This record gives sequence, C-alpha cells and structure tokens, in this order.
Amino acid sequence: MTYRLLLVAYVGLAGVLPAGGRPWLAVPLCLAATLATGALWTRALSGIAAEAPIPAVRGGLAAVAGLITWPLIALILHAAGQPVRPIPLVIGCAVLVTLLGAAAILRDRRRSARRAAAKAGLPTQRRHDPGPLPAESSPDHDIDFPPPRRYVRTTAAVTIPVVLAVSVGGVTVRGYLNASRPAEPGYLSIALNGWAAAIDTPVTVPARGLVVPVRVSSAGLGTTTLPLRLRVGGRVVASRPMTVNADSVRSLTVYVPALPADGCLHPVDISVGDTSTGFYARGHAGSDPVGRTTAGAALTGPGVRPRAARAPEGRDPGVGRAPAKRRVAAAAERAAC
Amino acid sequence: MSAATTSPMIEQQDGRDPGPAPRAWTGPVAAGIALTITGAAGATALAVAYRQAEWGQDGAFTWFWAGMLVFSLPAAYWAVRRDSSARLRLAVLIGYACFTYLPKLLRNPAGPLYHDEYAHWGQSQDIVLDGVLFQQNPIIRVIGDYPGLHATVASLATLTGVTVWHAALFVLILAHVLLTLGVAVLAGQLWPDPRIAAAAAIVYSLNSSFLYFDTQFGYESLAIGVMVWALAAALGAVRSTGTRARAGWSAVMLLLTVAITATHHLTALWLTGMLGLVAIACTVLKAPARTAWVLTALAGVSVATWMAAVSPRTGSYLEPYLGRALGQFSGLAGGSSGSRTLFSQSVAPWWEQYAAFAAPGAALIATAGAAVLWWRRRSVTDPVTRACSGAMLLLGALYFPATLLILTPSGAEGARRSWAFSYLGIAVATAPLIIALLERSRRRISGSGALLLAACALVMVGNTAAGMNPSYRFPGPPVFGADTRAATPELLAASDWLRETHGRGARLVADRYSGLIFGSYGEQEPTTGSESFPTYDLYLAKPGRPMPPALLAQLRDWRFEYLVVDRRMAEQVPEIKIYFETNEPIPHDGRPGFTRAQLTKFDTLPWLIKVYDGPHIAIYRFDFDSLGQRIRMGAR
Repeated sequence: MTYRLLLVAYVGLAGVLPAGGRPWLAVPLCLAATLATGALWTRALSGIAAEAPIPAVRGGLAAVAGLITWPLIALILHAAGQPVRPIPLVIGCAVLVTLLGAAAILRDRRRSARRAAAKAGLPTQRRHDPGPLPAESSPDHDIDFPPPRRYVRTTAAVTIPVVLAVSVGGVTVRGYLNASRPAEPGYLSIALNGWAAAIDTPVTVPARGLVVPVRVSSAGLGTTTLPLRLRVGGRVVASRPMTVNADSVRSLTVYVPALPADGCLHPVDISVGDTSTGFYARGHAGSDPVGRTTAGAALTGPGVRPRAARAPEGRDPGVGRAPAKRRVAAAAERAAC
Repeated sequence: MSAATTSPMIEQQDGRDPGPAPRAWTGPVAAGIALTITGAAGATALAVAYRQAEWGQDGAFTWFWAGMLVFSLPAAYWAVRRDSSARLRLAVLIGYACFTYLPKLLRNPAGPLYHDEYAHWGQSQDIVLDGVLFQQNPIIRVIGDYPGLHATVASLATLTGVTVWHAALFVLILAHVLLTLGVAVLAGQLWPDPRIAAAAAIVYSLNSSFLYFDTQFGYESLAIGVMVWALAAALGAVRSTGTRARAGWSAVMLLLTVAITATHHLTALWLTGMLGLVAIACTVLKAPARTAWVLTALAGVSVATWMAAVSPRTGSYLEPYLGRALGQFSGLAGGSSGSRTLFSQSVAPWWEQYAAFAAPGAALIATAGAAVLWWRRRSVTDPVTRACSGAMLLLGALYFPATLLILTPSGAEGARRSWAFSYLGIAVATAPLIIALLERSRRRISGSGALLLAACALVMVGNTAAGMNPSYRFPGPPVFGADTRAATPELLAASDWLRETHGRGARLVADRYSGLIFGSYGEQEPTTGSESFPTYDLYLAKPGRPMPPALLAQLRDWRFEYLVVDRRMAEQVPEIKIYFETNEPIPHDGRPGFTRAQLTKFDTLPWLIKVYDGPHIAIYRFDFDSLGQRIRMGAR
C-alpha cells in the first residue's frame, strides 16, 4: 500500500507542473498528490487506530494531513528563502513524500518482522487466532488496515454523497447566478487622465495654455447631456454641453488658458454635471520662481508624465535648487495671494 | 474497533451496527432517495429565499428556514436512526456538511463578500503574485502573521491554475466537511457508539458560526476543522495504553497543532485551553493525566513560541475583544450605561429573534441534563471517558457566561466567536443524553425524537440569528455601511481606476467600506484609523480649521499618497454603525456623523489634488509640499 501511495504522490506531483494552466488536468493530479501525501503521513506516524464508530478516521486524517502539508511546505520554503511557486512547492512536496514513504516502509518492515517473530515464538496450533495478529493485541500495536472490500464500501459512502451534493449544489448555484438581478445603481465619474493623472504638485501653466486630458465614465445610466465646465479660481471660464453615452468611457482634453503670473495657486476645476476633478496651478512668469512642474514639459509626452518633471519620492525637484532670493520672492508672492 | 478506544459504558462492535443483514441495502437506498429529494428541495428554497431578498420581497427568512430544515431534519433523523449502518451515517454526515455549506456558497459564489474575506482573499492573492508569506495586510493587520490558510489556498491556486477564490472554495468546503466528521470522530473517542458520534456532529452544527462565520474565507474556517481532529488525536493519545499508539496519536496531534498555530491565533489558544481542561479533569478525576499534561505543554509551547517570535502583536490585537469587554461588563453590573440592545433595528422576523433568546435556554437544559447523566454514570464509565467527558462539560459550560458578554459593545464580537468553540463541549457532552432519550422509546419515530428534532430546529434558527446580521446572511440592494453590500459598481470602478493608473500598493486613508474594496480588488494599502493613528480626524476637522499637525506629519512620514472620501457619510447612517473602526470617536445617535461641508472641504485644500470623482466617491492625492499654501479664488 505504501508503494502505491508513493506512486500516486509522485505521479501527481510530476504531472502538476506540465498540466499548469489546464485546471481540468492539474486539479485531479494535485488532489491525488495531496491525498496520497496525507495518507503517507498517517502511515508514517505509528499507532493510528483502525476505524472508529464513524468509519472516517483514516480518510479524514489523510485529508487533514494532506491539506496542512501545503502550508507547512510553504513555511519551510519561506524559511529557506524560496518563493511559494509551483516548482519549489513540487520539489518540497516530493522531498516530504520521500521521507514519509521511507518512514512508512521502515515501519511496515518492522511490523512484519515483529509479527513473524510472534508467530515463530508460538506454535500455530496453540494460538487462539491463527491469522495475522489483530491490532491492539499488544500494548505496542500498529495500524490495523481493513480488508479491501471495506475500503470500497467506505469509498462509496464518501463518494456518493459528494457527487450528489456537487450535482445538486452545482445546478442550484448555476441557476441562481443565471437568474435576473435588480439593476445596480449607476454612476458617472470623471478623472484626470494621461499625464494629468500623475499630477502630485502644483502645475505651472505656460503662456500658451495647457491641454489637460480627462476621462469620463458612465455605467448603469442612460445617455445624457451635461455641462462640461472649466473653472479657474472658482469662476467658470469655459462651458459647453457634453453628451455622455450610456455605459461608455470617454477620453477628452480640456484646454486651460494661461494664468496670471502672480505666483499664486489657482484651483483648476473640470466638471461634468456635479462631478469634478482638478488640481492647483500657477501662471508662467518668464522665470519660474520655484522651478515647479511646467506644462511645457508635461505636454511633451501625452499620457506619460515626463521623467524630468517627476519628483523623486514625492518631493519637488525644483525645491532646494532655486536660489534663496528667488524662494524668498516666491514666498512673498504667495503671502500676497 | 480498537481496544484502545472502547469504553465499557456502551458495547459496540467493530464499526458495524447490529441489524438485520438481509435487505441491508434498503436503508441506504431509502436514505439516498429521501435526502436527494429533500436536498434538492432545500437548495431550491434557499435560492428562492436569496432571490426574494435581492428583490426586496417578503418571505426571504421563511423560505430560507424552510429550505434548511427540509433537508436538515431528515438528515439528522437518518444520522442518529438506530438501524442506520456506520457507512450510512458517514454518508449522511458528509451530505449534511455539504448541504450546510450551501447557504454561504449561494451568498457569494463568485468572490469575497464578508469583511474578513476581503482581507484573506487579498492576502492569498498577494502570495500568488509575489510568492512571499508574512506580508502586511492592510485590512486586518494581524492576519499576515498567520499564513496557514493563505499558503494553502495560494499553493493550490498556483499549482492548478484555478483562481484564488475557487481554490479557497475547495479548501473551505473540505474543511467544513472535515469539521463535521471531526466532531463525530472526537465523540467517538469517548463513546464508541456511532449514534452518539452522529448526534454530536448534528448538535455541533447548530452553533451560531456553523452556517456563515466558519464557512467564510477566513483563517478560523480552516483552523477549527483541523483543531477538532487535533483534539480527537489528543484524546486518542490519552486513551492509548501502548507506548507506540500513544506516540503515534501524539505525533499527529503535534503536527496538527503546528499547522493550527500557523493558521489562527484564537483557535490555537482554544486548543491549548481545551487540552488543559482535559488534563485538569484527568488529574481531578484520577484518570491517567501525564499524557494530557504533556500534550497541553506541547501545544502551549507551540503557541507561545509563535506568538513571541512571529506575531508579538497578537496580544494587542485580541486584547480589546476581551479586556475592554470585561471592563464594559463590570460597568454594566455597576449600573452604568453603554449596553447593547439586542436586535435593535434588526430586520429579522420576530420568531427568529425569539428563537435567538430561547436557544441558550435549550442549550442550558441540555447541558444540565448531560451533567446529570454524567454524574449518574460516573461509576460505570471508565476513568478516561469520565474525565474527558467531564472536560467537555466544563468546556460547554463556558458558553453561558459568554452569552452575557453579548450585551457589551466590545464583547459582542468576542462572545460570538467563542461559541463555535464552547459549543464543541455542549455537542460532545449532550450527545449521550440525546441517544439515551431516544433509547427510551423503541418506536421508529418517537415523541421524544420529534421533540428533539423540533429543539434542533429551534436552536439552529436561534443561534444563526444571534450569530450573524441579516445583511451578512441575505443579499439585497447596496446599503451604505454594510460590509457585505459595500461593493457598489461606483466603488469598484474607483478602485480599478486607481490600480490601473497608479499601480498596486499605494498607502491611502479611507473609511471602513471603501478600505475593503481598495485593499482587496484595488490591491492598495488602506488604513481606516485607530486610536494611535486617528486618520478619521481628517474627516472630522471642521471646514476652515487646521488639520491636526501630528497626524499630517505621520501621514507624510509614512508616505501616504491618497485620501478616499465617501460623501454618503454625510447623508446616511452606516447600517452596522461603524464609519471607520469600532472605537471611533464619532457619535452614533441616528444622524449622519458628518456634515457635507466636512467632506467637501477637501476640494479647497491646496495639499489635496482631486484626481477622481464620482457621485459619492472622491479620491484625492496628498501633496504635503503644498501644506500652508494659500490659494487665490477668482482668476483674472
């Protein structure tokens, strides 16, 4: 039996890797390997009794032991600095199966030797039971494995309810999932898009203005026409109607005109109906007072934030480079805002 | 039957029941046909119940319990019926376990839904993606230290190519079946009567966590099944007379204990406590106690080592559930306010609520009866059975003080979570009483049998109602402030947008419900605040007033990138009365805890860039460099 379990475990493990990506093949192989490994645990650990009132002890223990094999292997892999990936898992399980198999075979041989010695020590005609020694006949008993017919009946007792449950449950779940459902609440959202999605600091709007990409999404709502508005400093500077189709995602750009070069932060707000997105911006003076992100740089790569403009770890690249005088001037300008 | 597990109390024989050998197949065939028909009817009724709830129609609770009981009661009958064979009982218990998983399976067959499920699903997903254990979890911080379930699910998913959710379903259903069988095996270690074993499994299935909590994608769902088998192995070791058998059972127990320790803190602690109870009972009742003490010590060392070396924060995580609850309980005893009102504003029908109050009473009567039976049989029972069943009685007795903790806000959760463990004692201790009552009548369906089935139905209904909110049990339209109905299309779209445009792993501040979605589907790292990191103060700050500088410094130092605002917090009261976390300093007086101005003030703060907006959800990006800057309104 131990050899058969070893064979099942090895075949299952060997087949799992090539079967990767094909669950219909990989699942039964993996389950077979898991159960065989669990059964090897119960064989390697001595003294597990035969069937209890509910004939589920050995099968249940094998299932439990097989199940916990995977986290134990994963923990060992972690301790060894290996990732929890298919190849390390299979190798780890194969090593474990080999060790368990060796222990089980050793135990089987010892048990056979003890039984042989017991038989040899007592003439057969003087023994009450001429067959193999029953389990628990001595204080140091071992596993008493039931005859194959009882295996078959126990297997049927496990398999039949599982098959029936999977059939009934599968049909019920499928029917439930395919049934009609109440409509979920719809939404309309707006988000900064492309390079603008990466804005993490005030933007400097160049003299020629700035093109800002935005994304408008609609789901679960009908087609509707809403005002698309651009506000700068709270004032509407541009507005036009925009039709938002049902269940659509639309990318568009909004032109932000040049801002006064007063060094102040101006809130820029882009809205569709009641939803809005936005950022803070400054007007472009001939010389950037603090070297903030410029729209000119931003426009060089639509959809991708220029590397030069990206501040490492959230800090502004210009801060610290600007001369002290300019920073003082900028601070003074801000104080005037 | 092995001699090591036989008890002189009841004569039983080699796993087979006495009965007429000819026509032995009629019982299994009749049971198979009957239970298949009732199972199909029950499953259909459950689906109807959920559809009624989804569409907001009346009758969901009635359909649900009709579906549950139409299968459960016949299954209980076949499991404890005198003429059923051992294998028929096994088959019935497996079918029963599979059926009792169906309510949870139908609740969310396609993905996580419960609060903890989001955390465990995300944790397993991270292992599949990165191949690394012990990653920090943003939703429940301690679960990263207990990777047993996540490693199991991730290993199966990565080996077979199925999704994490489907691998989890397989593990959870298997664990549920093993839990049911494990209780029977555990009872079988004490009383080698298959009827008692089956009765114990059925009684255990009546506990409040069986249908929903211990079937969810959570670490307890796997750990508790393994724990029951570890306890059965421990009892096997305690009973064994031979060294080899004792060593074998002990080795199995130790293996399972290590797995439990790496899977769930509370289960590992309960296992150690249960072993301690067995050891104490063996000592007091003069049964061989050395093995029990050794196993208790081994389990204790395993748990203590893990908690000291791997997860030292477990204590601080668990402390509020017990320490604060005891404080509140003593406050209640002293007459102070602060108690909970049970079923306050619950949509559960009156009969469910009454059953919830009656269920502990029924359990008390049963436990008292079991104690009387234990006392009357103490002289004819072998010492180990007497001691171990006494330990189970003590374990079951813990259920009753825990029911009182349900009256305290902090203790309610801990009380509910303890019932799955203490009910194990009730189940194992009362099973002999049930069979003794059934034995009094020789009729196939006796009055006491019908009464017991009715009591089972009452306790199952009541315990389930007491253990889980209706919003967890039934589907329905999206509701603000309900974990199970948090995943609105808008919120899912917002979390998808953030992941697609900004990648995984960004730290963000959010409320409880947004945090669930952003931390799981969104693959971000949300925080929902705590006493030491009160991020909810951002939301609570009055418009025009400065934010707490210490909090801003913390957010900046810890590299938080985003703030998520759900404006429904200013319009509605959360269904479970939590905005961020259980101990938040936000009044719950039936009115929304925030004003609209508190939540829209972020639109005018220059250190917050509004990168995304929807009807309710807005995402802001922190720009701490712009703190203190002033903005100019009215351009040009």
